[in-house]
Amino acid sequence: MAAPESGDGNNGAARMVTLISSDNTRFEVEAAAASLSQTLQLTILDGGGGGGDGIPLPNVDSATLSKVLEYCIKHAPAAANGGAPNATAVDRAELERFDNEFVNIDQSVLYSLIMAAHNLEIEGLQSLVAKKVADMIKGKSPMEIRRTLGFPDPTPEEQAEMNAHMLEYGWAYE
Amino acid sequence: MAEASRAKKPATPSLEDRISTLPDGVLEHVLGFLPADNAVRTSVLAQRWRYLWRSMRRLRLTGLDPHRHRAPAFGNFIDGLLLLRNTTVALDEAELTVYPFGENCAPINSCIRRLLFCKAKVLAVDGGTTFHGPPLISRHLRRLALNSLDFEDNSLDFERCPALEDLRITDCELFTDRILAPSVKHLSITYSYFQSPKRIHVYAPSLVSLEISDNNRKAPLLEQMPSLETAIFSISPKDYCDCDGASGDDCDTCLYSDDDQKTCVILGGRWTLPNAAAWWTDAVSRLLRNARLML
Repeated sequence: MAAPESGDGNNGAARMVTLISSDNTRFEVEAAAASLSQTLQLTILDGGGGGGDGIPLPNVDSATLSKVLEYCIKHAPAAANGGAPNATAVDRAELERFDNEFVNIDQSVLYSLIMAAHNLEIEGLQSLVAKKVADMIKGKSPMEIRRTLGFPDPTPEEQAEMNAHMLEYGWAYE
Repeated sequence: MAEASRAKKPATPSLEDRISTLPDGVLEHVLGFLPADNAVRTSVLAQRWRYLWRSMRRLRLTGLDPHRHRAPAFGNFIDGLLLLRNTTVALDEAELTVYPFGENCAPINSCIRRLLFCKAKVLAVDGGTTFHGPPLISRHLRRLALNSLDFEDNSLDFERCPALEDLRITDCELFTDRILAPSVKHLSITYSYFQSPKRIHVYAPSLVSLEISDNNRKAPLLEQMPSLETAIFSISPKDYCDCDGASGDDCDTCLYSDDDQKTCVILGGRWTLPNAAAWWTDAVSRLLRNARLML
């Protein structure tokens, strides 16, 4: 599948770039997929990341990066189409299925992922994970949210502070 | 133990530590996906969370519990939410769903205006209530989606929303005489009722795409739209004029008149449609078919 190229050096095959995780693992990936990252897009447009060079990503470990790239590779064709016009309902349903499955993971992985998406400025991934975290909180009481997010049960002082706060924010609890 | 595990793998930090390391911007993004009342209530979690909700860029005033958010409580909630909001953060998007309120339309009217004061760029309103009063004012509003509302007075005048480009009206009842949308490029009115005794006039000279379909009663009169490229225009089979042709050429409602530009019954004005030839043919054939029903 020859993804349309935004960069230079069109020689038939899709242009590849290399990304290097914080633990020094190298990932070779199509430039079109990596370009979903606004941060990387600039470097790639400048011709970076090719050959033996590679783009170091000191804030992203290999486990997270491989997950991020899984997302980018899946979403790159749709992004290249400008998001929609040619996409069929089937394509969209397939992407949605992929997305739902994709965020069905441990909370700690979600946090690594959202941080990476934030640093790399991958808008779709940021929203996907943010929505997942929001769904974990939605409709729950403060106590249930604390437990879901792994906060320890409040100390008596914290409990007193929570109660005072809830009084002050009565309008949000009516 | 820590020593032993460090050799293989760093000790796993607690989940609380993990979520607490996320920057404010990321947590605010998360909160923007929650119904606003849920988002505010996270302020009780810890000191860190106390003020995050004030800088959310997206407000979802939806999914409010109808049993717990009676109109006065809703008003209080909106007051708290918008008065304590960080005013330096513009609102990218606001969604307002107000089904519980029925006849009491004051809270939604005031809420819409206040969301615009918060510089909302995208606003979606969904609620079975009436929107009335003076025209909306906003320099920031770009997209407006209106669903299941009644419109009265000048509530569909958007002259003072110069950035508004996209206007969608779905499943609404329009009691207004006109839609005034000088900056709007994309307009759709679907599944709605044109309830005004006169044909509603649509002034949208910047329009690029238009959809008026699956509506009931009198199709609107469209003023000049010189930039129009694509359009879907279908007229209700029940489109009729009360004059029943009796007023002849002078009827203001059906504009059944052969003089100057009004020859085309629905599409008043002189039109240039460079890229809409196919649509034009289709629309005119529909018009001819339906025009008989009007006479």
